[in-house]
Amino acid sequence: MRVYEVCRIYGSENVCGELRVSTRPFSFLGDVVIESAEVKGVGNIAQSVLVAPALVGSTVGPYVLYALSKRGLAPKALITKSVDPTLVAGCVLADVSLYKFVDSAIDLNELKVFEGLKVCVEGNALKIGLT
Amino acid sequence: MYLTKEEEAILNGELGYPYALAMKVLTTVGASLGAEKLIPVEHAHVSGISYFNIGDAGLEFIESLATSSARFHVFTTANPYAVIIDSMYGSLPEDVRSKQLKIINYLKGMGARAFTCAPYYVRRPSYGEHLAWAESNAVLYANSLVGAWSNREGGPLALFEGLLGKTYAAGVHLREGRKPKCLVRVKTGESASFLHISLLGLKVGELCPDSIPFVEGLENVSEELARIFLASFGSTSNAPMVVFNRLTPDSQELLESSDIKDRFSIDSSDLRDVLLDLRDSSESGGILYFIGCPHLSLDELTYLLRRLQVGGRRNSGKVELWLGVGDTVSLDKETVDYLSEVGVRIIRGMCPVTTKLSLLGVKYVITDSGKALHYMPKLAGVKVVIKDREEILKEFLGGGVR
Repeated sequence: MRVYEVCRIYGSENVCGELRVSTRPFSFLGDVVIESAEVKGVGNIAQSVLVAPALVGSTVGPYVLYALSKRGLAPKALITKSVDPTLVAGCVLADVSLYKFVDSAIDLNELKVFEGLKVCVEGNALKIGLT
Repeated sequence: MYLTKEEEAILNGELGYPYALAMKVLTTVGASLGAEKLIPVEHAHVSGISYFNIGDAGLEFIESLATSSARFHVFTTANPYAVIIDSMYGSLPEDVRSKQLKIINYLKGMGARAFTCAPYYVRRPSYGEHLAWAESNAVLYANSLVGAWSNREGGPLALFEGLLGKTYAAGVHLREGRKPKCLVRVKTGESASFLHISLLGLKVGELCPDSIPFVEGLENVSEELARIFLASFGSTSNAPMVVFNRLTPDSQELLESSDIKDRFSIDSSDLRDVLLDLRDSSESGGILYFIGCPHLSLDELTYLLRRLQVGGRRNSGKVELWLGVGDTVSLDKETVDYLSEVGVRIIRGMCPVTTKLSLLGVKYVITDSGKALHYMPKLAGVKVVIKDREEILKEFLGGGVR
């Protein structure tokens, strides 16, 4: 089992969901279809544990997260390498748990191969694979 | 984070859902930045007003607040909205216009006092006053030229701060957060023009993308030029403040407390290369002249109108000059009619930079703004050519680019 150390910024201590990984900074402006939660190159992010280096497109990001959440299509959790106030605001608005990787040098390509698997955040750890 | 009894009650829903949500967002963001408490603000300024920036999701959110009886509890202004007037170039699609009008009306219903990117011309802040502003040029102006204190808020944060009249005590609301960490020595070598200062702002922003710079060499520029510098700087840097030697209140104290990590020197020749690259554009057809990013001061507008009125231009019907001002500025009908005859439109409370101008058939925008130069290709979908303000006036009065 792979374990990655994370730090909780907002939300639940324990969350499980399907892993979705964006290896590029993720933009909520134009990248996400609000009616379906589909993201090109990433798949469907509804109810997922979404991993990305950072989120960009700050003005609209919180609103898109909120719109997804109202439709029951928001991710369950976001895990990023860097966190800014707007991202925190968006996660609170949409009630999406937010975590930050403790090791900001982590290579997200490592996680990309596990995309689609059910993963869990438990306390300060993102756990991937069978226990 | 320490909360007063009143703040806790709001968090627990005493004032209703919108205020509880606002308090939850603010305390969570504050805690993530290490803030120990909330502090009152005198003025909030909300960004994300153009429908092109926030889309249906943003409209939906603002609607949900407005229809839940959310009202601003402190003096609150908002950024300009998309250009929804009819122009020579055409009009935006009806559904975009009606959605933009809904956003405006919801915000007015919540108590927004004005729509402008220059809220300091609506209510000038005082030295040492805490603000919750979300427009970069305004935040930079307040911190750097007035000595007021505001972080660069984004997304819905300033909206929530307007509802509560509070912000979190972190960033530049603390003395520690106002320390310059980057030193830039500027050699102007020539008298500073709008064009020169715009390009300089972009360059200094590139050199100090995440830290407050201490800038030497601009001690004698006017507040108008410093404002243009700051607007450009904010396009290429995330810093909420520039400390201008002797121009910024408390600049010497800030220098003494500085923690300089990087030092740079710029002279005019660095900027001439940038300019030559930009002049290479071969603009023709679908040209719009635009001055007013950020929105013009009354002095600037008066000067421009005088130049245009004595210019004796007849409208060629091929180009327009748009002058951007806040919606609190009003002109008499006679002046507006005259300007319209010569192809000049006063764009009140609106922002061409955050309007998809390509939908109107505009291909090129000729402007004096470094900020517009930076954002318009992506946001407005047009090519941008930067020229000096005087050159733009001369060219427009002469009938425009052929």
